[in-house]
Amino acid sequence: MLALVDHFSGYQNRHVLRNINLTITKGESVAVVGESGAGKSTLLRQLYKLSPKTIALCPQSLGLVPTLSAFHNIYMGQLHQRTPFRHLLNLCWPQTSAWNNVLSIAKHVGVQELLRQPVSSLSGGQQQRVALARSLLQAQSKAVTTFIGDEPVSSVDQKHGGLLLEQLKEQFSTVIVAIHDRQLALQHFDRVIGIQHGSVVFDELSSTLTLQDLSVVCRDQ
Amino acid sequence: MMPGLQKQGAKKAGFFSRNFTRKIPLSLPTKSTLMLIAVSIACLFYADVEVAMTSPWAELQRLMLGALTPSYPSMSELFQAVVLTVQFAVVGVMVGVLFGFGFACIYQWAPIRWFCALIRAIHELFWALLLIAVIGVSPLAGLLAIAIPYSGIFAKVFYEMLLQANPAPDFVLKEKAGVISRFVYGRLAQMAPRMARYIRYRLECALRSSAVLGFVGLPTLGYHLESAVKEGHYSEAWLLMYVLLALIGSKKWWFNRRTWLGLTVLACAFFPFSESVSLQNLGQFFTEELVPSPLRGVDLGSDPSQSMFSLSTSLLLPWFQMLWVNEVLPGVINTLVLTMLALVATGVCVLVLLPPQSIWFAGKNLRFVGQGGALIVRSLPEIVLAFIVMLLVGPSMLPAIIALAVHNGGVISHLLQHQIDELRLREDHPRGLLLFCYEIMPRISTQFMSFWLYRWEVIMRETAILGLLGIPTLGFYIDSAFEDIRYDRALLLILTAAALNLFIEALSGRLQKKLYNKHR
Repeated sequence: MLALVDHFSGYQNRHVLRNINLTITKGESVAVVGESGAGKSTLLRQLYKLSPKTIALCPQSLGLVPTLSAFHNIYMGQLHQRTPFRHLLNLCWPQTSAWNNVLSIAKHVGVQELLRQPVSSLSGGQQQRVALARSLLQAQSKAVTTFIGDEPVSSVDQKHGGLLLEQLKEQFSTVIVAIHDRQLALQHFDRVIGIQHGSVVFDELSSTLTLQDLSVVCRDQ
Repeated sequence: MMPGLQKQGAKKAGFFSRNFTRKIPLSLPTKSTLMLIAVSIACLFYADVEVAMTSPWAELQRLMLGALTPSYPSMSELFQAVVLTVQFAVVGVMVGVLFGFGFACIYQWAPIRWFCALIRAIHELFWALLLIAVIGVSPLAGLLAIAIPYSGIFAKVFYEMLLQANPAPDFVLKEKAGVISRFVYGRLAQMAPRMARYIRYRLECALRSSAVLGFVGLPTLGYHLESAVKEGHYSEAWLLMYVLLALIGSKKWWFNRRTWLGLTVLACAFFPFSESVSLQNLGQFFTEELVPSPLRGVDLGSDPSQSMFSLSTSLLLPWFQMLWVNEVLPGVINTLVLTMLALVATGVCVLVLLPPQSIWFAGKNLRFVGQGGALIVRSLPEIVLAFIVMLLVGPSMLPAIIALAVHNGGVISHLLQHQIDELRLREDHPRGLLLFCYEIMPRISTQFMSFWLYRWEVIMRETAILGLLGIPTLGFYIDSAFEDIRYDRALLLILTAAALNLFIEALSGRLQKKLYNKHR
């Protein structure tokens, strides 16, 4: 369970987040919507800080290493486990077990053909898929139960974006995602939180919301 | 959690396919690094890297004691040395800027390009040896020894900077303003701050060069340093090194936009231009002493049956063969061997020196130590470092390798530290060794390679110089040729060293371009 109580964050008198009260329980899938600059990224970061050990994070900047191959970037999801020696070996000379493991994850997000290429040579959508695969790999550890993503499918078309979100929901018990696509937010999440100027404007079950309700905080794309 | 995914990965495979199937193609930086390492391992078989000293610890103790008790007997001598060191550096750089800028304006002209490449391919110390041979041990020789190669360097760098200027202002002024005002307003004004920054950086190098000129007899800081170390007066040696460090460290306070003009005027006004300059044997030097010895006294015009060709085959060829076998070839091989080993050792030094300087790996105290250490090793000239290491491990290639690696490692790691501290990594990045190997190094690999390859030619230049310490590189044979007053040999060897430098410059330039294009 992740909970923020009367939470403020930001600089001394310029708050990015104001008086946030939020509880997210295990098993929920939550979409966070709002205009850019509303405080979505800050909110996700604050939630991540509550329990970094149990959360796989996919930041908006993706945090991929452009010169390394897609394989290595996905593999990096595992670096917190096992011995450094094994990871250094896999950096220089990928072992078959590690390769097959990464390959099976890559198949889920459709980048199995790209594993040998450096990430810098991939398109924006492909890079997002690689970053998602890195998060999915973290789900193999029992400790990691939650996914937090900041616009994780923004460069993928709506149909494939939906499929990727379903993958995430399948592998993580709790999924929290900032998203600007209102339709995806309503279709794939149990609960939608609307943010404006650093405050929560609404926090409802998606079944009770319409596209029109979301346009309060989301401008038309 | 994900039982399905976990099971899929564990497929049985044969030993060979499990461990020896290369799956990821190597990146260009990795490939070039592996190639350089392979070459340097081959070089290791030719290198003399013995540790000859029997009790390095006793020497180290005395050295450390000297570090703690710096002193100098004659303050006026020290003051004179400091003044001369600064004068050489300031006047040398300014003359270099003047000529370099002139050359930069006509750099499109190929002969000028070749000329500049040639004069900068010859190291300051070789220029000094040559000039001393021509005009005697005089301050003017020291000044020119810095000004000449620096002109060649400034010409290239200024030309490239002016090319990078935004062409729009120049274009707007076209048809409306004269050539000169267009150049000044359209291009020079844009690039002036960058050029000024480069001049300030070059002044730091010139201070080092100027100190090093002492090793060939000009009374700068290096002159007294060499004799202090040779006589075992470590307290004096350390004081001189502290003074040099302080000079370089305090440069921004005494050489900045307010002081540079006054300082230059002062340095020029009090420069002993004509002191102990002797031009008597100037004519003889060019007509006789630089001429290959077998050709001396041969009257070329007298006998028409003796063509140039037969002359060169009968007289010049044996002379050249003798030199080639005895001096040029061993000199070239040792220079290349030392360069390659020092280059790879530099890479290792960067990896060691970088983490303690960076916010990602070190706390405040460790960073202070790391950055301070890097500052010291990059401020002291290679030849001084080699001199110190030689006291500890005896004369072989080892001190030269260590000195070059530590100095250049300090330079590169300093440049990289700024870059990695500005990296923005994802919040859940790994830590320690894995952070270094998976995040930091791959991200800066291209930049690292380009600094490293650029240092290749710098190391090559300096390698030749370390011959003055008795390591049989080209510099060793050049130094002995000057000592034996065989200027014809010296010239041939210097030109060989220059050719070698030009070759490495071209090679590393090509590799850098390839990396850069790949990166884009």
